[in-house]
Amino acid sequence: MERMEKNMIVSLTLPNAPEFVSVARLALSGVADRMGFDVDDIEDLKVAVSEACTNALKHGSKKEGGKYFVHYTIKEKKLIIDVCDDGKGIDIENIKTPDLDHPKESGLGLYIIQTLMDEVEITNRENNGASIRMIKNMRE
Amino acid sequence: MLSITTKIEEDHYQIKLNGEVDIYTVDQLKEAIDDKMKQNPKKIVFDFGDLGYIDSTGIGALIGIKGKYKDTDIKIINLRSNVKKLFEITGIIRIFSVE
Repeated sequence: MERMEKNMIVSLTLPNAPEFVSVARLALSGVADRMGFDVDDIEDLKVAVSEACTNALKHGSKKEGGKYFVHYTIKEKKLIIDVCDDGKGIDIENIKTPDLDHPKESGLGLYIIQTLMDEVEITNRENNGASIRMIKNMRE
Repeated sequence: MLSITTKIEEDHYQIKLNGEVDIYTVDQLKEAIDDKMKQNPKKIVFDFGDLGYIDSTGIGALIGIKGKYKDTDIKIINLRSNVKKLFEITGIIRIFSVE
């Protein structure tokens, strides 16, 4: 990491098709490994980015040719991941914490992201979809 | 990619997952389980030793399977540490018999 420049960004444009979520994981693995994240953190990051991509697929534009964007911003001691879709946005007010004593089939994705990442911010852009920003700090 | 192999043991079906369960492969898992359940097994054992990745889509599917086939004893063995961590975070480690 010492030789890496700060604030480099690796960006992907992915089609709204489930078979390409694994591409976001592969790119993430490469970026995080290059930064020096350990294996456990890379596994957490892979899950978090996949959950955000799955969310983009579910809530994003259903139009043919629909797409979403994944940006990996490399900072000196942290990785910022932005997943941005072009759908109707996320109902932020109604995000519920799952009842872990009575697990349900859906509604776990955002909770998992919040558990695995150091910071999470969800924003709706007016008439322009939702963005999930996730930050993972490198361990000292 | 996900591959699913089933071995019929004396008193149970052993279902081995190899690869990744995500939004793309999860339907393959659900269909394979529904197919096996037609034989009415009393017990199934999932071997997750070669399962490198699972996320909320796969965990949701397992919760669904558990709810749908209440009379079948379902056990999960050989969880990798990253998979076990997700089982703990989501609480599903409490509803499955895990080794």
